[in-house]
Amino acid sequence: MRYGFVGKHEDHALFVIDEGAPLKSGVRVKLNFEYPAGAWLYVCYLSSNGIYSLLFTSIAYRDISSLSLTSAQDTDAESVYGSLGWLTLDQNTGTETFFLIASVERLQVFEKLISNYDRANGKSRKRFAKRISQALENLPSQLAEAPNIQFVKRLEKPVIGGATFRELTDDGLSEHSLSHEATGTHIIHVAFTIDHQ
Amino acid sequence: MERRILSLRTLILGNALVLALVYSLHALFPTALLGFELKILDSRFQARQALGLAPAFSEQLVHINIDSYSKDQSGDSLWEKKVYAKLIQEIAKGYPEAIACDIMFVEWADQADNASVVNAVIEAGNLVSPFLFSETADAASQPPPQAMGLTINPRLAPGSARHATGVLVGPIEDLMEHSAGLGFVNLSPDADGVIRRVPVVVEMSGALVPSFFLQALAIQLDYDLENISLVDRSHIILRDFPAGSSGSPRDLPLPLDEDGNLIVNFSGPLSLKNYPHSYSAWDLLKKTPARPDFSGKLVFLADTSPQNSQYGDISPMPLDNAFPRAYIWSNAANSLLAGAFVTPVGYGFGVITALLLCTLVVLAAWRFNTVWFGVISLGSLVFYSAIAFGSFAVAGWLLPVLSVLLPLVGVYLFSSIYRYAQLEHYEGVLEGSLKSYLSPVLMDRIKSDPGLLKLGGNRKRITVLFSDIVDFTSFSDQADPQEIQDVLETHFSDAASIIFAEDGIVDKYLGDGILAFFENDGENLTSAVRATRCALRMQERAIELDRLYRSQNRFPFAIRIGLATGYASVGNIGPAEKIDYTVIGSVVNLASRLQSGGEPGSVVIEKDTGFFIKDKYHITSLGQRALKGFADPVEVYVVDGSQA
Repeated sequence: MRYGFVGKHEDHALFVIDEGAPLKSGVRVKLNFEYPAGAWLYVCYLSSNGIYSLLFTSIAYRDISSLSLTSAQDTDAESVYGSLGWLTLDQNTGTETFFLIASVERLQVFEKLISNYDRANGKSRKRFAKRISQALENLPSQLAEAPNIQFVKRLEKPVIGGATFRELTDDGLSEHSLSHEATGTHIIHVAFTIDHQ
Repeated sequence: MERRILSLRTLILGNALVLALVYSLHALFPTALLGFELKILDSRFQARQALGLAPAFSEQLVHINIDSYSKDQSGDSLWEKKVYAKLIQEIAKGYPEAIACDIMFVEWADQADNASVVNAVIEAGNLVSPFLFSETADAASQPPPQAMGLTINPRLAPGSARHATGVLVGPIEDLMEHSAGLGFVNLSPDADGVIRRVPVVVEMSGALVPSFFLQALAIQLDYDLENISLVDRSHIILRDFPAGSSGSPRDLPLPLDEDGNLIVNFSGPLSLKNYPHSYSAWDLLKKTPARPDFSGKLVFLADTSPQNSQYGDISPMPLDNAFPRAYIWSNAANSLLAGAFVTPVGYGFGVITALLLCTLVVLAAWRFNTVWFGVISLGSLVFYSAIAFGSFAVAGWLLPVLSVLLPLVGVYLFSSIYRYAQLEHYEGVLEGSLKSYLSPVLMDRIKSDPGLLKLGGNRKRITVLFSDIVDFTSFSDQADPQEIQDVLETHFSDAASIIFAEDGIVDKYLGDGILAFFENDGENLTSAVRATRCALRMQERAIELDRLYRSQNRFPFAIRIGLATGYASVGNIGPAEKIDYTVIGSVVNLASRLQSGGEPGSVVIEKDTGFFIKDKYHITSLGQRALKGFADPVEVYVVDGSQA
């Protein structure tokens, strides 16, 4: 799985966001990802004020076509490229965490937790948040077959995901750039944090 | 005096054996007196209640009761789930911090309207659901359902809490999922069927599971179960627990019994006075009166109707024979909120206290007289009982009672028996010793009437016997002191025996002389006759001794005896430090003068004695004689012997 966070300054200049990078409120960020075709991908977000939200799930792609996924145009592709739209950091500062999960099996327990979390209110919601956090820490245990150790590395130079090459800058950085790669078997899960200041 | 006759060593060793026996029996049969101990515990609750010292029930705790009134008003004893859903919604509209719903919505009972209840729980967002677990591995071996969310609970080291296995009865899975928390509602009554304690946490699948009341409190106070420290099975500390009136976080050690249970500090029997924030579910449903404001509070929702007792929601507790279990949970929660606990004091304290008090009793038995021994022993019992009751009423300390009082009673009994036996033995020894000095008659009279030992005399008609050994002065000048002692001992012993046989009293030995007197038994004037018979037998014995001594070429032995009858003062006479039971009067002098004027081997009497004995004995007048100390001559007689 490859992914990358791209930021855009007020002058529209693009930059690669590294893990733990400090960013100010108002900065626009965009997440690009590319995962093996046939895998289940989940992008979960934990805001600085402790609220979980599922930003992306390939369930939606499998059920209905999504224009943002390039593989939808090529069923023989080995990987699927996807992207979230531009997000603007609000005024709630703190650590923003993105969880990217690619799994060979569908994570139904996790999905149910997220679903119940969305329905829950008050203190029950806190309990679900705790359970989601617990589930994210123990994702491999949800699989029938134990995964191998996974590796995450930063690519030497951002690569372009998907099919479009517009807006390519001099250093090869695009809105669709992928800057990190994570490898493993059965399940890959990474947490990417932004130090929202 | 008693200290000298009691052996401290025997007291200590004997009582040590008693203590060993008591504690051994207690260890072998720990439940033998359990019922009694529990009753004593209940009596402390009752006494505290009567004194108005029970802890107040927190205003943060509210009860919504599905009571008999609610069921009667609704016309239905078993409500549909949608009614419960409505009830939860109505409670939630009061904005409570948490709802402890002590009603088990189980799927197998009825699946209708499950969704309405689940939706109400989701909307409320702060409802705590109950479940029941098994403590035996074979009773329910299935793992807890994932919906319980045990993975988010703190992990526990094996053995640090009571172990529980699968869920026996749990709520609908959707309820488990959407409850803000889950707590077990297992309650085990004591041996007598009364519920006095609640478990606090158990270990299930390696995770800590709180009991219903603790989970509800945690939800109400936003308390993180991760902050619970299990020191061991009977020591739990709630770190940073927002207890007390200030609500500021502090470490709260829970005083648990050896099984990890919290003894519930009950605020009282079920009444609006003790639990003022109790409302009928029907009133809430009908909004009559207006819905109370539950903001910030923990609301317990439960079926409290007696009709439900068959399902186990009503149980006896120390102050109430039919007490809703939901109130047991809320009372437990109240203890934590107020930080007011029933604190069981360890067995070791009981043993040490018992040893101290037993030592006091042993010392009292050894050192003091019977009255003080009794006062100190009884005082120790009363003192400790008062301390046990008082400390419970004031501070909630649950001191062990039987483990202190039983050894104390055992030591008291042993010490009493030992004292009695020793005193009885001593009395026998003393009596035997006194018999050498006092006549058996006098001994018997003193035993039956200790008042005789009081100082003072009574005027009585008596007969005085005065005897003297003839020429004893010249014998004592010539004889060896040991021989003199032998002669006197033989004579005095024989004479005393004869005097005592006639119920006479040896007043004193005067050198070689004997002063004895004979009292009359009421109106029966026999003193003169008995004194005469005694005198004649003494003379017979003197003749025998004379024969013996002559055969041994020793002192020729003879005695003179004088008898006089008349009034004298008889009783305890003398200074308080040295009193004698003696006689005072001229009749004593008269007997002495008659004796000194008589012939060896004779029994000389005066007119009054002669008057009483003349029918039984031959007497011969010796005519009137002038006696020293008597102004007028006295008619003197000599007793010849018995009449034919």
